[in-house]
Amino acid sequence: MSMVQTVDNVALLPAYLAAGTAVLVLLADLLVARARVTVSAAALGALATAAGAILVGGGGERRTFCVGADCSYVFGGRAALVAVLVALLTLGVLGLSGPLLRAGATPVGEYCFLLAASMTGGVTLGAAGDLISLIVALETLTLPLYVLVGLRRGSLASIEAAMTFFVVSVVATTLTLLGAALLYASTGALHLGRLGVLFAEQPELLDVPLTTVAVALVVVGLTVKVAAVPFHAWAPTTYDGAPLPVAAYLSTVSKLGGVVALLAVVQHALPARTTGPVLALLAVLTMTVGNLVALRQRRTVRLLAWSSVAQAGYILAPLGALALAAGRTGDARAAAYAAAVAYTVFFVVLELAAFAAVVALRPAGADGGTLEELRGAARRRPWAAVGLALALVGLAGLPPGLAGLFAKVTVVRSLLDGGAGWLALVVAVNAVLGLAYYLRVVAALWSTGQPAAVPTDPTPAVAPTDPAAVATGPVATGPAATGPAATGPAVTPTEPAAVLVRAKPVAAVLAAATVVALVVGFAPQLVLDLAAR
Amino acid sequence: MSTPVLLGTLLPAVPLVTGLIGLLLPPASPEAGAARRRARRAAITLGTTGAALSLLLAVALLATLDAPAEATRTWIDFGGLTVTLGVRLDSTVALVAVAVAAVALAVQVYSIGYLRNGPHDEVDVDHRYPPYAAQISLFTAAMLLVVVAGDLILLLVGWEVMGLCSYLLIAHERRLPAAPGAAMKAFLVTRVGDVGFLLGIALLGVSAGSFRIADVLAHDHATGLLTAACLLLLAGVAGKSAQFPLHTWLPDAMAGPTPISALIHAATMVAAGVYVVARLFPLFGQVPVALAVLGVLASITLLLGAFAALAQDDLKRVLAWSTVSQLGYLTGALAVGAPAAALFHLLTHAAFKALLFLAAGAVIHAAGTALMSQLGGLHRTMPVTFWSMLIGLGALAGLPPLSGFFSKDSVLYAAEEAARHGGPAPAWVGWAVWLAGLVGVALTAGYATRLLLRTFFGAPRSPLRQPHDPPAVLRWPVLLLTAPAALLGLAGFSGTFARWLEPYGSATRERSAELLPADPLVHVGPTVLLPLVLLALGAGLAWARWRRDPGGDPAVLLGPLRPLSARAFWLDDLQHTLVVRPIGRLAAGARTADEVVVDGAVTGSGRVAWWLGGGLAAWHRDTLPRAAAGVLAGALLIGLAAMLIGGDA
Repeated sequence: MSMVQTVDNVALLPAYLAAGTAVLVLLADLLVARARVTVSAAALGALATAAGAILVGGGGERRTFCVGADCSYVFGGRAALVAVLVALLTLGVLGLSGPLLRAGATPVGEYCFLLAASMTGGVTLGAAGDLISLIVALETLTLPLYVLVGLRRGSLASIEAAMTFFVVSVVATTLTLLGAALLYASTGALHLGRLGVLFAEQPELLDVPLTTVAVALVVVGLTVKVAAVPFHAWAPTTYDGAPLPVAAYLSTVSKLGGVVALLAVVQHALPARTTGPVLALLAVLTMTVGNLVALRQRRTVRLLAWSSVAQAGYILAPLGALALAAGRTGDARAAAYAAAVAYTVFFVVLELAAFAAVVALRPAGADGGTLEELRGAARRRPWAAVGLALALVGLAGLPPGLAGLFAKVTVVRSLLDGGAGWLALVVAVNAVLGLAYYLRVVAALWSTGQPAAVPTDPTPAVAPTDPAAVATGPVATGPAATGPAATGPAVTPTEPAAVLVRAKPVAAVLAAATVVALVVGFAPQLVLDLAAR
Repeated sequence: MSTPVLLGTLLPAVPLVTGLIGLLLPPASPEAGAARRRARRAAITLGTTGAALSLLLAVALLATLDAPAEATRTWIDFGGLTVTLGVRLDSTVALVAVAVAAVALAVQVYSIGYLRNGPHDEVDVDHRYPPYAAQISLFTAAMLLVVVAGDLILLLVGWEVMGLCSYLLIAHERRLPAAPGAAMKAFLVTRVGDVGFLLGIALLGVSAGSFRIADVLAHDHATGLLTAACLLLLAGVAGKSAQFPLHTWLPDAMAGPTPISALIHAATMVAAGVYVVARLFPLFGQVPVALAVLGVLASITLLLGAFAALAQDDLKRVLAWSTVSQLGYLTGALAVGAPAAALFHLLTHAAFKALLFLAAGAVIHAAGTALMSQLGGLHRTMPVTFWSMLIGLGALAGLPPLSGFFSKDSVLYAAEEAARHGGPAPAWVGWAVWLAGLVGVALTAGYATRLLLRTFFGAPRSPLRQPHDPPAVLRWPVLLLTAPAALLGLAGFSGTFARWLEPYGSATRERSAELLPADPLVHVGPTVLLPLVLLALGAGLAWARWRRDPGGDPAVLLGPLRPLSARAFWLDDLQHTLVVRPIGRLAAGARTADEVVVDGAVTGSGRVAWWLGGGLAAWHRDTLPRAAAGVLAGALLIGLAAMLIGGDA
């Protein structure tokens, strides 16, 4: 074997572009030091990354870093889809960050650099061909987020959120690494394809308990990233403590990353006999617990966080069909993977729209606030309220948000094809549970009644209002942040419309996400075809 | 995409878009003023632009379409059943589309003047113009979708949207206590038929494996299934096209604003049922049973409507019952296997009925009442309206050379042919339709004459107001509609026109190629004399009675039958006793069961879910330690389980 490898630089182009974006942002911040330029550089880089991914992905599958037949970097249709989604979602999150950055409590250069660095991880993730690349890519995606979550100066909630996220995430990575190491010990392989072949050829490998435990550990470690129950407890605190755009990033890109990593190991490497039951169990727990707890949330972002926990359950559900023999035929497996990917695509689009609408409805730089504060918002900001309503209704899977409906239909159909009728039933019951709280929010938007008095028991996360934001906001950025800097529960819904966010990029992101959601709602076949590639 | 297909696709899309944009305008403003005026102006611009554009598109389609065209794109594949988005265009489509768009434009323009705060209004009324205009646009879009649809599901979408818009528009006048009830009635009665329609479409689609109209028509259906499907479809047609016994909603729908009556009665909703049968006629032609049922319904509807129109006092109700009666002619023509004659009468009817309603609206607008017992003597003060109305009523009664004469003649000719020589339906159906049609001619002449005399002649019975011809924005739509109402019938002499109206010329090309060019729709022969004599008889009787007592009602001629006619055979009361009340009782029972049993279970499980959620949420208070513990414990448990159970699952 030659020690010199030829590297296919074209296949690596999207990763280069993403990494280049991070460097460019760093340089721009250092040399020009103007917020507008930095953000524009990041946005342009994200666009270029998406374009590069489309260009490379359109040309068929490319492999590089190969040892024999096994390659560590495989850029095919799925990888291109993931890269494009990650880049566009990053662009969307950048668009949502305007009010936050202008509020002044967040350093712009660091913020953009970290986002771009995280995007690099996401772009590489879809192409990872062995367990180590996969874990490294996933960590590249996650590491910058620990900092991003805690980046708001002087916010106690942010620090708490970052701490929780960091500890849980590190524990999860340890588990995955342990699993990978054990796998290597028992099989001698790390490449996903090689592992798959080994398990298919030597089923007796699974008779060794160590192998089974290794498989379970890898899966469990990765499900932490998608916040599946019981590995979810970090999500609500982290989402709520993080600045809104970062929460949007966590619930879209980060979740997409987890799903992609999970799919990669389940689809190519690990034996369905072992992963299937684990995933089925996690899916049921995740859907049920997520929806039940979401019922009782009073804070907007916490509700979205719990709902995204529940949505992760729907994503895992089709993979749970692998638990049964009927779900392991070639057709049923392909349908299950395609359903998971399709649901993820529908979900991230709707989730981005929901967060964009929340950003638009809240004062600049504020956190998500409580549901009470959204009451009657439709009369102050009808367009943003309509966007939020559409996104939530789509997440619930009701007709005007056809995207969500088709997503759920796809999942249920793949479950029925795989003979997992019971799991389909669980999905259906959970969809009903979900209706309750999604519609509660939508109803609150149009509610005309007077809000109840100040919530009687403010949850711990309410208490730490941003003292720094209050103090520095007006000084730092002038008129843009004068009124809204007084954030937190003190802001009443009756505040004049003038002090609310009027940022064009936010509106553009909201409009774009809503339009995409509507379009894929009317042409679901597009996404289904893409997902099946 | 060829030009006709593009035009056909844009045809429903344009009013749909303007309608949707219109819905976004502020619907009602609490205070009169600049904001309301601005919204109203925007709504007017949107509505008329949409209608005018679709008229242009329809005319362009008629001009460019030289052969039937079809375009299909798969919308979604539900594993085995394909739903397509597609248009299916031929010259019939283009003609009907022109009629729909023209009437819609006339109604949009007319509404500008009709729904305006006049000097007579004591209080400042908010007419909520933006949603009104937007709903008309949506209604037009839905009808145009039905017209061009190449797929039964798409057609159903248009069909249902039309039902919804009719509900909204009939209920528009909030000050009328009858309006909400009438709207609900129209919605529910047509809904009863729509259930059948939906089932019929489902049967056809499943049998053919596709919902594309071309596939459904080409497929060789089993006889029993086809019969069932056609009968089910007829239920829907009876609902929308107001056929006995589902006709009761139509006269009540007069509670809507008059332009809406014109829209519903002339070219859109009631025409939809007839149009669908004509479009699917190759299927109906194979099922004599369905045609026989249709023929019987048509004859009853025709006579019932004409008879009920004789004794109504409300101007609009006379016209409404006349619509019911004319729809009997349309379905009768279909039943005797003459879809071309039906479509011909549909077009002329669209023209003269729109004219009649808009002219009646002008009378109501000027006189402030629709009751003929309070009108009279208007021909001097409202000459333009009088002459327009005269042309409309002449066309309705079938006075040569106005349009109604020729189209009605072609229907009667087809029925006579079917009676004498047989057709797709049994000969007795032909006889029934023909005889009913002839009696209908006399009755129509009678009530048309009565309406004309009671409204425009004699002494004015409400001298308080000074009625006058309406302003230009109301006058011009009426005047422009007189042209087709008067002259469209002459088109029937043209063989080309007849060929345009033969639906599915493509399906029966060899037959049409040799037969149709020499076979125009109008047949001048000795049989024409019979309806003319009957017309003279009906009109003469009404006139003679009026001569004896210019202040009285010619309806007294009916003698003891008069209340029967005025209440339309008490069918409404019958419907109320037989259907509404039992269903009301059933609903009350179902509600109790639902509240106690079903709701009990639901609220119970809801409470359990709420409580569970609370418990679980409480567990998540102290985040970090528990989160970390959760991950580790979960990993431990799952790892252990995986090891113990192993891969035996």
